[in-house]
Amino acid sequence: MAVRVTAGPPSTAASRAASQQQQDLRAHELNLIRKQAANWRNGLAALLGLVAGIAVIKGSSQTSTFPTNIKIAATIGMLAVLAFASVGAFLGMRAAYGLPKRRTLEGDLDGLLAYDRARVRRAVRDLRLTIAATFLAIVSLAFTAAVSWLATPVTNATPSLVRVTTTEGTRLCGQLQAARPGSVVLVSGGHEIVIRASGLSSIAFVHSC
Amino acid sequence: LTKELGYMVSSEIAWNEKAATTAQVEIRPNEQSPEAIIISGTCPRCNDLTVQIEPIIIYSGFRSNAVREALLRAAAKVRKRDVEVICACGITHQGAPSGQAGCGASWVLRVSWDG
Repeated sequence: MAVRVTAGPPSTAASRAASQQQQDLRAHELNLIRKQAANWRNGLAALLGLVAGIAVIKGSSQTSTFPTNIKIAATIGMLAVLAFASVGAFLGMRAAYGLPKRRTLEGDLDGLLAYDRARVRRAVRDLRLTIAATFLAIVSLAFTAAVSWLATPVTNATPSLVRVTTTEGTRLCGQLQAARPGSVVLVSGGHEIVIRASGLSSIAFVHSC
Repeated sequence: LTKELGYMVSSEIAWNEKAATTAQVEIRPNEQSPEAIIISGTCPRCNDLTVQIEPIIIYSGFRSNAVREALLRAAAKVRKRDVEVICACGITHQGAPSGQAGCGASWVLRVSWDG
């Protein structure tokens, strides 16, 4: 383990400029990361606001007509969006502003350098997690939207069409007009058909004929 | 402190040789995963103490500095680096631009290490 130092090549205007640029990069490294984190946090905050707005304004009315399993999937998706966006927003803020922490600062250059690098590494790690959380929140939102769009609402209204089979085996289908003691009346093809109860084999409500 | 030796952007090959014998160079945090080179010593022009922290690994934007970042990472792997040290002594030299530390001199050291 040894560090060797020898005379380098002659300095040029380009090498001096590159050296100065590297010093600038090092000096502004943390600020650049913090600025990026603030932008990601803003995006996540907007997403969080959107989801919260939808949840409050629409409430459960949007999913009330969905089957139970779809309702559960949509709710899980929405909660996942909120969870990822919240965690991401927190990490984004921590990357952008840091958290106040009591620590012993080493007085020598090594200690200061180590402290500086640790701050940068922490901010970078938080920023990367923020980005991951943002994408996970977007995927969860897409999942929730897809579930909501593809779900077929359950119709609770009782169908008014009936399919009747007579004791003779004839099948009739039409709008139930009346159900009287001893007979049912349905309208099929514009004609009113009266069927006696004694001639009925079966009757069933259907959504379509 | 103000020194009569004026500020001048300058470099001489002899300064590289002189500084190579006097500079103290350390790799931080260690030679296996280096992140920075600390070079300290006297400036071969003004003879004042100066320190430079040369970054090897840096985190920056995802767009504008991606190429430079990749170059720095590649440099970290080869374990050899030509470092241009620019005098940053705490003395104010006559004619120095406002807020500019050092006498303006620069010299190049070739630093290599086992990892």
